[in-house]
Amino acid sequence: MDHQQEKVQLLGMWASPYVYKVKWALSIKGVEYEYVEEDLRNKSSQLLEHNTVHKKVPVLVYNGKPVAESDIIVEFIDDAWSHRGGRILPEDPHERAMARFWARFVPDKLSPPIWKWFTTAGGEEQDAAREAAMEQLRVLEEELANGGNEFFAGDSVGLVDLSLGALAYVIPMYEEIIGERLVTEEMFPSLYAWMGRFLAAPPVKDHLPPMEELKLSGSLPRATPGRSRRTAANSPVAPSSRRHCCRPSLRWQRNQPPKVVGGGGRRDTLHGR
Amino acid sequence: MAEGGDLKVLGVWTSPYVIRVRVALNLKSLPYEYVEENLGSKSALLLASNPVHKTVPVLLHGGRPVNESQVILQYIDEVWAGTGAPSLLPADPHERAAARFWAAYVDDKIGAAWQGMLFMCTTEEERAAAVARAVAALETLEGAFEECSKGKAFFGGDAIGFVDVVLGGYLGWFRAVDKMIGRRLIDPARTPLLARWEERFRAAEAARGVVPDDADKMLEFLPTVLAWIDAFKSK
Repeated sequence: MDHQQEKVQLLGMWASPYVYKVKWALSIKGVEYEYVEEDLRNKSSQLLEHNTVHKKVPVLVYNGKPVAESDIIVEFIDDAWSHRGGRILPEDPHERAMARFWARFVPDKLSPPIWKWFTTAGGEEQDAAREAAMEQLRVLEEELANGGNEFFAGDSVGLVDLSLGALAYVIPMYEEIIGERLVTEEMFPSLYAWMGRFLAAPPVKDHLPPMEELKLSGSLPRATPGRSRRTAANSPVAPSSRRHCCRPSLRWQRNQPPKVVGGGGRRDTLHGR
Repeated sequence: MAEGGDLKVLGVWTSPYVIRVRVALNLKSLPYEYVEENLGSKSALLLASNPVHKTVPVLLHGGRPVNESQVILQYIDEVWAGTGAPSLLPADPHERAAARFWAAYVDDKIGAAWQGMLFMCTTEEERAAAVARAVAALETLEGAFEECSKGKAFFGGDAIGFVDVVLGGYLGWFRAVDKMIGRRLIDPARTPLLARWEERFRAAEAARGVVPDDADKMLEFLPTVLAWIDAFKSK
């Protein structure tokens, strides 16, 4: 690709974990870009023009051409800047297949039960939700432990780490809000260590959302299985409207009835994808 | 490598995800052993090869499993790149991203509607609603086809590409649904480009014998699939 007229723009929203995933990928490659904060209640004509199908962030615009959907943007970044920065995907085709497989595991199998655990209000149902989340965490723990590396990708952050990444700050936030642990060092030693390492990793540490504002805004990510796009139920609030940020959202109070979550309609899990 | 090596596919003949993998292997002229799975009584090989999802398709290459159909398609494309057959994914990063985008759209919108039309509805109203969602998605894909094909035969251009095989996998069940509802999902009046695309795709050598064309046979098999889903849900 011709990088002489390199103009990279990222259309995003400050609370979206999918936007951060793209920021981390750009950071791995050392790509400079212009960040544009979108007000999702009042979408810019630029956003609507560049993502006519889903009208969501993140959108990466490179030399005027848009790329949408965070997983797709991350692979695009690896393709477009293959000659520089770290590798996001490994070189070997079988290892690439494994990376893509585990990257999909996060939104498909892991995020939904974690969300359910966070939003189910106590009792047996909450216990069942926590157990379901832990079952999937155990699968990932084993995968990480078997690899024996600092990150899923090896010595540095790669595709699977990016896919799991936001959970490194979201899980502790959920734990604090509901007063219950999910990932303890005791139960998940590899994952626990990975979380700390991920948040301190060079491509990540300077690109994290403001945690206090995130906790109070009611914009924490919703675990819609399948596609990586912003799916917070509330209209997320930009930092400029601090008035709305200061009052904790009622959604996070545990005496609220459990929300029905998930993608549009029911899905059977018999068929693969 | 030019030869296939030891290739095996674990599948179910009606599954859109299995069909697309078989079409891709055929496009690359790769011989493989096909194993029909009974998802009501899964083989030890399936359970060992895909312990996380326990489902098809599974591609075994020299005994090593690759799972998730779009992951398998990219694996096939990468391992057997430059062996004579055209690539499924284009070389240009923007075009690759566009192909991945539309493939994701297909599995998201068409996939969900397909499940809704056949496996998840309990009333005819629910089925009709799912059919409407499928038709709406196909109308969007009509526009995508115009954009991606640039006047050529397939989403991939002159040759069948990534989006073609991903969408093509659903054609077998579409024919069955057409029979159920008495009209075509890919309606030549509403989506003329896709209707012509379907004919070309089905006629391709890579699709023959793999993309089902007998609606009655599919509908006879439907209760088996529903029973598998029920058994899975009751666990």
